[in-house]
Amino acid sequence: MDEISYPPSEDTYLLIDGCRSWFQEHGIRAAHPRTRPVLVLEVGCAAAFVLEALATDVAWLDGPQASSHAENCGLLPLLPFFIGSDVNLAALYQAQRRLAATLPIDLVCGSLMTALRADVFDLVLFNSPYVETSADELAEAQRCRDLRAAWAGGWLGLQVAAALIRQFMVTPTAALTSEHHASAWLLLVTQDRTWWHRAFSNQFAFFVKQRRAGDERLLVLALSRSQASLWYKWIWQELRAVDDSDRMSALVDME
Amino acid sequence: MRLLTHNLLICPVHKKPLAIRNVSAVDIIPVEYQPRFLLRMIPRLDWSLLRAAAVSVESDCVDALPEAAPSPSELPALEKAVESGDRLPLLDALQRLLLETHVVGGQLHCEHGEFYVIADGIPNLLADAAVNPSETASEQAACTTEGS
Repeated sequence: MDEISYPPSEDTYLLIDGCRSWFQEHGIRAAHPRTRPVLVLEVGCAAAFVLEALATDVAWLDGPQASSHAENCGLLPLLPFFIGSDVNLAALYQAQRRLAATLPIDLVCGSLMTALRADVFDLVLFNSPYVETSADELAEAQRCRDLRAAWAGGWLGLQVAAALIRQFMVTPTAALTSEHHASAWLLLVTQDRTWWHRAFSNQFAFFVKQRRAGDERLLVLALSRSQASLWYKWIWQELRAVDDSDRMSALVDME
Repeated sequence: MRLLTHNLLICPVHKKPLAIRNVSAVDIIPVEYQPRFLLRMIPRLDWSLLRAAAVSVESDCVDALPEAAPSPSELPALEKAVESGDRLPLLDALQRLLLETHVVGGQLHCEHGEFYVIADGIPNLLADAAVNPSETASEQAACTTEGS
């Protein structure tokens, strides 16, 4: 394959728009200096187009109430810091050459959140690989860490997303919980499947945005840490109910 | 990679903090002063790791870092000082270290022996990119077998 990473496409813009929608709904909380998200991680950032868009214009975070609140109080600016991680090192170098060194973005080569403290981020973004593939195809994509890793999602296009949800649901230490007032959110782009709508009706995730891109129907959803934990237990029970041991062991293998 | 990011990294294999060693290049890139951001970071930082990192990069801010992080009870007074426009030496040091000091080349060492390389400012923390000084030879042999 000649290309190092995919150019920005519908799912890229959907994640950016999803951030805007989510924080406009939560504008009042985002305005408050103690609960405003300040550490943002994008997992699978590739050439970091999403981070570049979010870091160069933080209006997505401020919303209408927030900016007037800050002005009225004469507050100093409180800008977030962004970390992008990806398994594709070449794509990260491509991003680094493009991004100004003064932008509040750092890039780390790693798999999902395995090399990062999962308890410190206020917001985790993941444009997950959502195309349903065989287990072999997913394993091959992850071994080669090339473009295929950007879309190969395993069973139901859910396997990689499930692994990240599992890493995200860690409980922060008591010291962090008391001082770290903001609640953490995971914003996920995935394929629009009935599976997720069942999660919404069970309150295991919040619906943020939906979009049709070509013949794909995509979805942005948000999970808090406690929802992530409930979601994970739920999917585990679903698999056990149908005695799907292959998928259950696949879920464990991804950890 | 800024020292802020370094503070949030862990060894993907052993889940331990990583020590910066064999630094070959450090950039200082000044950015806008962010005292309110820095105050929000204090409770999340591994303070002893930050102090060790400041020594590893031979920062001149080492002496401005106290032995221990400001306690939660000290933070409101710091916030008040910041809002009234005071420049605090502690926050100046954190600004320089966390947001302006970039490790461009070096290594990240886990206490279990393996290390990860930082090249051109990006650390490679993939589990199979770990260099294990005692096992490097056998790993290379295994890779050759796998590829054939």
